[in-house]
Amino acid sequence: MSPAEARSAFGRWLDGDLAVAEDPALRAALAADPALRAACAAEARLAAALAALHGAARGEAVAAMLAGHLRARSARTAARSADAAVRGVRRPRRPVWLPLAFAAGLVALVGVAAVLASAPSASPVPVVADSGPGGPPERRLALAGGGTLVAAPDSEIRSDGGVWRLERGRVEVEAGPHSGTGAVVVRTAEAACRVVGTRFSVGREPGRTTVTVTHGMVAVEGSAGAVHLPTGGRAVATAGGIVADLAWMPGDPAPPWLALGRVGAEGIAAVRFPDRFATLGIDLKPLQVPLRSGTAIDLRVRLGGDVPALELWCRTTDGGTWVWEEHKPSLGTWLDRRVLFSAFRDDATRSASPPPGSVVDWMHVSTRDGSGRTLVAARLAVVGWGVPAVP
Amino acid sequence: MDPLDVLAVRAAGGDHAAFHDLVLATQADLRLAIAARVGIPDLVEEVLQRTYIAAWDGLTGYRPEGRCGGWLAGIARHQASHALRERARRRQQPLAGIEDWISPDPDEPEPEPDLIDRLRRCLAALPAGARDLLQRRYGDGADLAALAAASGRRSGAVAQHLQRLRDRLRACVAGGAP
Repeated sequence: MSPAEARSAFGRWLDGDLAVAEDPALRAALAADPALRAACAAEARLAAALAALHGAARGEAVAAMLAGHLRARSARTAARSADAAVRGVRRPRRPVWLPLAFAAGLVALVGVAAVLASAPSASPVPVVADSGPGGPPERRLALAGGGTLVAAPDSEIRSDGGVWRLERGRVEVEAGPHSGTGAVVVRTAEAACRVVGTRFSVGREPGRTTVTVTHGMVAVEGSAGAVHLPTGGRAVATAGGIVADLAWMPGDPAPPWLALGRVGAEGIAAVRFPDRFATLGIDLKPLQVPLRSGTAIDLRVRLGGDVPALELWCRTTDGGTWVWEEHKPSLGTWLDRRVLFSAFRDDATRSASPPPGSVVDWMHVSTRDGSGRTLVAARLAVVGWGVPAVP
Repeated sequence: MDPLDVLAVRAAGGDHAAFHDLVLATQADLRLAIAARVGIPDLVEEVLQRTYIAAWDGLTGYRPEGRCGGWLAGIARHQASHALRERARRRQQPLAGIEDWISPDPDEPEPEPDLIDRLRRCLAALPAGARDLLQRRYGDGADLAALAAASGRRSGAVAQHLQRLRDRLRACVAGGAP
């Protein structure tokens, strides 16, 4: 990629229009050329300044997000202090909450666990496509069950007892109607990609594998865990682990809470948290939701990593802090949950639920990595809160 | 007492509403300063939030002497440097992405203080249609497809238009004609 081509590609990257296939070439160009890096950095700063200049309306969202975070921290600190005073012991420390970048309108939740894949065996297996730089433009192979595998130019792929081993280049896989879950596996040195849905691509460069799901779902597996990538998802696997991003796609189904009576306050935000886990707080003031019998809240989340628990928190105006948990939530698919407030439990005692007549003025949803493993990337959003209409 | 100091003092006493107002009053300038320093939208928001969380934690040590904006800016500079050092380290790893490669070096000089004012002047000198396009792209977050659909042009043409506007603004900010 020439410097001029790289500048053009970088412009498309800034506008969110860079094709996945162009990403490696642009990265390589940036890594090799300090002058190009400096020019692109200057352009990025200008774009960021433009975004900041035009983004004054985000102030309220920032303030609300921070308020949720600080309330959560205060409530938890108070609860722990009270609990420790009663019991004379310290509760296990939970990770620090830190909501980060958010983008209004982006509605997805992703958590990704670090994955380390084992290297493929060194035994010789037949090369079924190795076009080389001067070879044919692509090689199309038929898969059992009616699917196809297309190897891009300059790709090397081997068939190894039903597993496709990608040594170099990129393949696009479309599983057939009779392929069945797990029937198609593409393995690289960094990852094994097992089709769950229908169509995905795997790109391989030295030390790095990129998986993009066009349609359906793909499980990207390693020795330490798995990441489920739904439509629009993308993961980069190396020997150090997998970083994945599960984007909200326009084709995703509309959330069911739209059919409910709307509370009025809507928390739409995405959180990217590179270290441990994702969290999102929504301040319902000045709305203040009075609890009646049967009052519920609708939640929509999507998890990409091995998160041991999904937590939903609420605070009532009398100072109570209540929590609802779902252990071992499913990965990769949208989870729609209607949670009755009667299912919340006191954060300190885990027994009582908020009594009817209580008023909720703040809610918070988070993922928790209780195992101590690191979530490499996470994005979280809640599409809204609803309360069923009272007859 | 300075209005920001009033809010800071109340927030230091645990008043969340006061802190909320302090964030609202200061976030626009702070975001601009961070954007000019770090240059990556996701990182701007990250540093902004880290700044306010650090500020909340440090409020009890703040002395209300009318310099709350400067105090926050100092925290933001520290948080930005910290974030840029993290990015620089990530360049050494195979997972380094494009955003890591274009992050400024942590030791790079701070942007000139009047950079944002110059950008504002350069923006004001653009035709109304160009300003509107930039507003929709950067203010409303419209993507190329949406901008193309709204204008009846191909997304490639919109991308080229945006690129030309950025080039023009960059030259203008650097001292050229608007």
